[in-house]
Amino acid sequence: MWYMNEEREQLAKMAHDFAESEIRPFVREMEEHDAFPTEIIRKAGELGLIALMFPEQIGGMGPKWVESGLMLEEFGKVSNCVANAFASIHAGCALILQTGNADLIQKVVIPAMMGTVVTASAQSEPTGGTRLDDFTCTASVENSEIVINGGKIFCTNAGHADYYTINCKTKEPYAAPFGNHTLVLVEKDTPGFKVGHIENKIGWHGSSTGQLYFNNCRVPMSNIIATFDMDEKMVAAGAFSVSILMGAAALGTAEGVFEKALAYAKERKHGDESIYDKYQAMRHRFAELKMEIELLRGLVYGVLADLDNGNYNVNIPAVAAKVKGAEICEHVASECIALCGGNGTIVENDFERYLRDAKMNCTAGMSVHHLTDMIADWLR
Amino acid sequence: MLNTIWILAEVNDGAVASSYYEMLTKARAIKPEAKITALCLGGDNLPVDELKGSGADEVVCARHAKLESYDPMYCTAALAGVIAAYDPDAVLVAASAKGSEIAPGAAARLRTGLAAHCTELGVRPDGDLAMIAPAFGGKLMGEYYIPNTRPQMASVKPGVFDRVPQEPRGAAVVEADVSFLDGMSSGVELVERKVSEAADLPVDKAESVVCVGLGVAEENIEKARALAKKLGAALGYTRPMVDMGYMSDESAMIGTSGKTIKPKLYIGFGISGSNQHVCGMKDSGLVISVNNNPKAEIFNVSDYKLVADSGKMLDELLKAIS
Amino acid sequence: MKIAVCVKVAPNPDQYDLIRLDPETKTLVREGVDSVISSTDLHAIEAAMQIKEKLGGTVTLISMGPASNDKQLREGLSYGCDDAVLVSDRKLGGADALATSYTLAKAVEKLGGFDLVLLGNSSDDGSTAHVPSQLGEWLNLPHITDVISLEVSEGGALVSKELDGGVNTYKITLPAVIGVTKRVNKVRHPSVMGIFSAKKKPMATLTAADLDNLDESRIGLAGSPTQAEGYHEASFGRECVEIEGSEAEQAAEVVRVLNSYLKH
Repeated sequence: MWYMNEEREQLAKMAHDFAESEIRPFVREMEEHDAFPTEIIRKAGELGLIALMFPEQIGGMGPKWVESGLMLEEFGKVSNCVANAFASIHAGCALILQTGNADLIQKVVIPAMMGTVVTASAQSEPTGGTRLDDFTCTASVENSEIVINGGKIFCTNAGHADYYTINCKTKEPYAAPFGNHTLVLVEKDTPGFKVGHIENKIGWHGSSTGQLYFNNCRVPMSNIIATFDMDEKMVAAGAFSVSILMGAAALGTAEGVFEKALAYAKERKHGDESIYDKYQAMRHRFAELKMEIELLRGLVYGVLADLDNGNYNVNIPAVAAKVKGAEICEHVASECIALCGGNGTIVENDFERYLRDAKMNCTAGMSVHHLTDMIADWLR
Repeated sequence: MLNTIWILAEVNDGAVASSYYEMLTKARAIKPEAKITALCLGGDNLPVDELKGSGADEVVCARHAKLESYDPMYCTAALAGVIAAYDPDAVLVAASAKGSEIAPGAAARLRTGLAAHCTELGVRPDGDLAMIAPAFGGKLMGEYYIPNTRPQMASVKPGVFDRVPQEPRGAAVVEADVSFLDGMSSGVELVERKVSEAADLPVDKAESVVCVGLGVAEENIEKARALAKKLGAALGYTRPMVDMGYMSDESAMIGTSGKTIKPKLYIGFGISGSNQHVCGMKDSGLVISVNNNPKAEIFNVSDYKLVADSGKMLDELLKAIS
Repeated sequence: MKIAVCVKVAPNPDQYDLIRLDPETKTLVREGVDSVISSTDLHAIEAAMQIKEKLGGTVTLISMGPASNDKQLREGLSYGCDDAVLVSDRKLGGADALATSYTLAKAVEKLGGFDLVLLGNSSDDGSTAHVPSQLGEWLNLPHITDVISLEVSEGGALVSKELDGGVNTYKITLPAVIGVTKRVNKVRHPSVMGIFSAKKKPMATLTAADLDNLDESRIGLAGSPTQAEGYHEASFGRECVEIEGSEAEQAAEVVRVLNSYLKH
C-alpha cells in the first residue's frame, strides 16, 4: 500500500500481534459479562500505542495519524468495541489538549496516554439530545467553586472512567470570562455525582454506556477545561479527529469479518469443492465486498496521510470516513453472515458480534445522520 | 566408504535404549558386511554384556568418573575423543535429548558433518552414507551426504526404524582411553534433579492432544484420559460431548465455538469430523483418527486412519505404550 | 552483562504451504514467503532483555545472511536490543550448521567481550539444533541446549532442561553459550518507542574479510561438510494412510508412527 513503509509495517504487525494475543482472548469475557478492557488499555499504554494519538509536546509520539489508523484498523479486525475504546481515549482528551490547561494535561491527559486512567466525555441529554441550546445540565459559580446540576445520557465509559468531561450550560446570569457553555472535569466519586443505569446495548458489550446524575456536585475552578460561547459549528469543527479514527476502526472490522467469512467459504466443502470454488455467485459477492473495503481504505488513509502532512482541511472526507465506514462495515458484516449460511448465524461462531458492533458505529460518536447533515451544511 | 559404523548406545536406568537396537538393525540392513561398533559412555556400570550380545561386532567402553552423570561438555569431549582415536567411517547417534545435544558438539570437534534427525539411511552409489531428514517443519525431506570429511555422522529419530533381534557376534570388548577428561573442566555442574510429574496442560498449549467424540462410549472416556497422561498429552473433546453432559465444561472443547488447537500430534477417537470441530484442529501436525465408520469425514483431514472400535483401540494402545 | 543473541532469519512457518519444489530443478521455490526471525530466537531475545533489565548491560544481535535481512534485524532491535551486526558475504552462502556456527563464532570473537551468548535452540526451517553446541565448541566455552528456564547472575547461570523424564538444573560458568527453547519465557510485544528507535540504533555489516583469522575453507557451501543432495516433497500431507490389522497390530503400528514423529 502506498502509505506503508518498513516502520509502519512493523507497527502494524505489532498491533496485529497485540490484538491477537491481548484482545481476542478477552472478547468472550466482554460479550458475556460486559467486562471493560481496563487491562488491555493499560498494556497498550505501556507499549506506547495510545501515545501514537498524542502530540510530542506532552510526551506523545506525534500525533502520528497513519500509525494511529493502522493500530485501530488492526484492533478493529478483532474487536470494533475495543478499537473504539481507544478512539474514545483520544476524544476524551482532545478538548483538554486544545485548551492547553497544563495542570489538567498533567493530571488527566498524560495518564490517559499511558493507559493508567480512563476518561469519558458527556454531551447528550435525555431531552434535546445533542442540541446545545436545549442542554439543561448547568454549571454555576458559587464561592469560587463550580456547581453542577442536571444529567447526561449515553456517556461512554460511564462507571469505568476516572475523569468525566461534562459539557454544561453556564447558568445565567454569568459574566466574562464565562461563555454560554462551560466544560468541566469531574472526578469519579465526587460528592453529588452519581453514575446511573448502564444501558444494555446491541453491541460494544465491552464499553459501558450510561447515565450521569449531578446534584449540587461541586468541583474546584481549576477543573474548568474551557468556557466560551459555543455553537454547533464548533462541535462540527472538532468532529474530524474522532470521525477519522472511527473510520479506521470500521475499516478493520469490515476486514476482520470479511477474512473470517472468506476463510470459511474456502474451507467449507460442497462435494469435492469448497463453496467458494464451486459457486461463482458467491465469489462475486466476496469480490463486491472486497471492493467496498478497498474504497474505504483509500478514503481512510488518504485523510490520515493528509493530517500527517499538516493538512487539517479534511472535515468532509474525515466525516465521510466515519459515515461510510459505519455503512460499509455493517453491510460487509451482514453479507458475511449470509455467505456463511447457518454457521454464520451461530453466536459462538462470532460473525454476528461484528454486525452488532458495526451497528454501534451508526450512532456512537455522533450519529451518521447528524454527520451527514453536517456535510450538507458544509456544502451550502 | 561405509566399512566401519559406530553406534552410540544410550543407557537409561542401566539398560540400553531401544534407539540403539533400531540403529543397529538399520545399519546391518543397509551394509551387512560393515563392522559395527557399539560405543558406550559412562562410569563403572556399563551394560557390557547386553551390548556384547546385541549383534554388534565390537563394544567400546569409555569409562570415566566425569561420565557418571550426564554433563554435555564431558560427554561431547569423550564422544569426539574416542571417535578421533578409532576413526570410523560413520557414527550414528540417537536424536534424543542427550544425543541431540552432544552429537553436534562432537561433530564440531571432529570438523565433520552431521545430518540431524534422520528418518532414513541408505548407501549412496559411491558407497557413502545417504541420510534423509525432514526440513521446513516436515513439509520437505532433504537428502544429505558428507563427501569430504570423516566420520559421516547422523542423528536418528528414535522409533523410526524397526528393531529386529540380531544374532550375537561374539563381540570383542575394548576399553577406550578417555584419560584426556582428567584435566578437563566443563563449566557445567548439575545442581539439582527433579523427577517431574506432568500437570494438566491447557489443551491449546499442549504439544499432543488426545481428543474424544461421541463415538467414544462414556465408560471409555477415562481410558482416553489415561492414554493422554501416558503420552504427556492434554485431553480434548467435541461439542456434543459437552452437550451430552459427558464433559462438565468447555475448557478443552475443540472447534469453532471452543478452542482452536495446533498441537504436534492429534489423536482422535470416535470423532465424526463435523466442520465445527475440524476448523478447530485442522492445523495440527500429525493427525491419527480412530472411527468405526470407514467413511467418517474426519479421515479426510487425517494422516492415518484406523477403522476400529474406539474402546478396544484405547485398550490396545494403553497396553502398547510403555 | 554484555550479551550476544545469535538469530536466524528464515521463511515464515505460517507460509510453509507456499514453499514448493521446482519440478524440473528440484530446487526450493520460496516465492511469496516472508522472512522472519526464527520463532525460538525471539525467546532468546526476550531472555537477553530480561537479563539486561535485571543486571544492566547491552544486548547485541548477530545474524548471518543476505544484506536484505537488515529489515528483520531492525525488528529484532525493536524489542529493546542495543545494536545489531549482520554478517553478510556471498562467500558465506549455502553454509551448513557447522560452517554457520564457525562464522558466527568468528563474529562473536571479532566483536569480543561477551559474557553470554544466547540463541534459539533450533530454527524453524532446518531445525537441526546444531548451532548452539557447535558455537560453544568453536568458542571453547561451556554450552548447554534445550533450556526451559534460565536465571543469570553476575556469577553464572542456572539453567534447567528436561532429561529422562525429569528436569535437571545446571550451574554454568560464564561466559557460556546457551540454547533456549520457547518454554523459557513469553516474548513481549515490542513497544512503539522500540519500533521507532530501532531505526536509529547502530547496525553494522561484517563481511568475510572483516573476520579475523578466518579459515575460508570452513565457510559457505564449500566449507560445509554436510551437503544437501536435494529435496523431495514429504508425504506428511493428509494422505490418510489406513492402518489395518488386528487391534493389537494397529496399536503397535500407531506406537511406531508416534515414536517416529514425536521424538524431535
